[in-house]
Amino acid sequence: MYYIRGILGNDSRVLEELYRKFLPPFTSMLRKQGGGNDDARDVFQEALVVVFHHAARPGFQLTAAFQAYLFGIGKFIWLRQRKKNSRIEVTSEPQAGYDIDADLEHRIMENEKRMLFREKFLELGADCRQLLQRFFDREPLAKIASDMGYTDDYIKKKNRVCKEKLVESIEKDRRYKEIATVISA
Amino acid sequence: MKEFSDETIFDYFNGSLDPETRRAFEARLQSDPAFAARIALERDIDTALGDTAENTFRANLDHISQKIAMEKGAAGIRNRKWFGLLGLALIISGLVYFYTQQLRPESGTMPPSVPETTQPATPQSNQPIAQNEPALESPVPKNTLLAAAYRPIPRLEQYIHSQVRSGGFKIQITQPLNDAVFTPRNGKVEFFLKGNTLGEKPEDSKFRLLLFNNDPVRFASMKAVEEQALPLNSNHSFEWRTQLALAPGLYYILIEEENSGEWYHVARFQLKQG
Repeated sequence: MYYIRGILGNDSRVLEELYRKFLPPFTSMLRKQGGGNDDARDVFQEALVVVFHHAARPGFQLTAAFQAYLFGIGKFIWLRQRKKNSRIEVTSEPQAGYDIDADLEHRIMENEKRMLFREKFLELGADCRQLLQRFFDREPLAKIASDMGYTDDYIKKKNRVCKEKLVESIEKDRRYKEIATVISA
Repeated sequence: MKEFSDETIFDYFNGSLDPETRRAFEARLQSDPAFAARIALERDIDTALGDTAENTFRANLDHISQKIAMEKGAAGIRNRKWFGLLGLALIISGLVYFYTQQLRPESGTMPPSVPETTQPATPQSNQPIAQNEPALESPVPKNTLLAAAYRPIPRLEQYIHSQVRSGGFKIQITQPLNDAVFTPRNGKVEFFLKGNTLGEKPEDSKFRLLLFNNDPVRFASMKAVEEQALPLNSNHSFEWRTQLALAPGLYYILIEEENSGEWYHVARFQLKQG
């Protein structure tokens, strides 16, 4: 639970230890599955984010070794990525010695959905990104309007325009449909 | 079916609709599945992209991943340098051997003397290896203004990837990320700094934000290009937004405790010409 506590507490020292200890063997594992160093680093980070959410739920208990848990999640994420480009069937069978149950699979899919949201957000123009980010950060409307030199109503309209662009780009992406279908199943 | 204006939809998410309009909005959500799905997706997006805890966690992971990647990169460059020198030495030795073989006389005359090859100098084992070198472009001649604008300040570089802990208290900057690059527009940059603290704040401590350029003389006198008190919000976060009118170059963010002068966070960013 040492690593779990470090992840939940966003403890830089523990996280750095995690990277130094587990990323090299994780990279080796992913290489055997056709991945490269950059893939391994990205998937490793996503696996940690999944743990960050999954382990935070009440009643969480780690029923296997931490490495098996983390690597199992990472392998599932990687195989899902590969599935999009091939005919590999990804199931909830034990991955790297850890059983991905329905709850964890749901958590992984939620993370995949959030990644898609981030990707589409970053594709927006700089002005939309900056404006929407301020709203996501819960800044008051009046402050945003005052800083930007516009009326409240103009900022509301601009917010809607940018949000519509974001929503449309997400809805058009076939990955969203697939993820939404799996999550709602 | 009543269409709702942009302002109304905004106010719904903002929780500032009047009761009558809110009832009408919710009735539409009940009766129009497509509209309800759209609103649900927007709410999902707001929750996901506004998740402060996850964003802070990701920023920290990026920071750590970059730190480790830079360490490996520096080690790789040193290894490649040595392999390169070894290869060069082998090539030169081979050429010399070939040349001397070609010139070997069949009768008693002596071949012309072959100049000695100079082996590359072996560095001393105690030669300092640069730590925490910034991931900047390839070295440019030292006497150019461009190189001078991005030359790091060693004392600050040492602190870049460490944070001072005082009884478990620390300060994190989630925006901008370390080594962010900004491009001024009309000579100005919209600079937004955001972060939070972890752990129990030392009693009566107050924090100050200082921005330094890479002028070591100014830094030695603690003459910042921008300086600002950094009050903490009730949720342990802080933020500062300003327009910077600074020349392209390397800059440092330093957060210190006002009374003790103790450094709690150091990061760097660059301004580059567009």
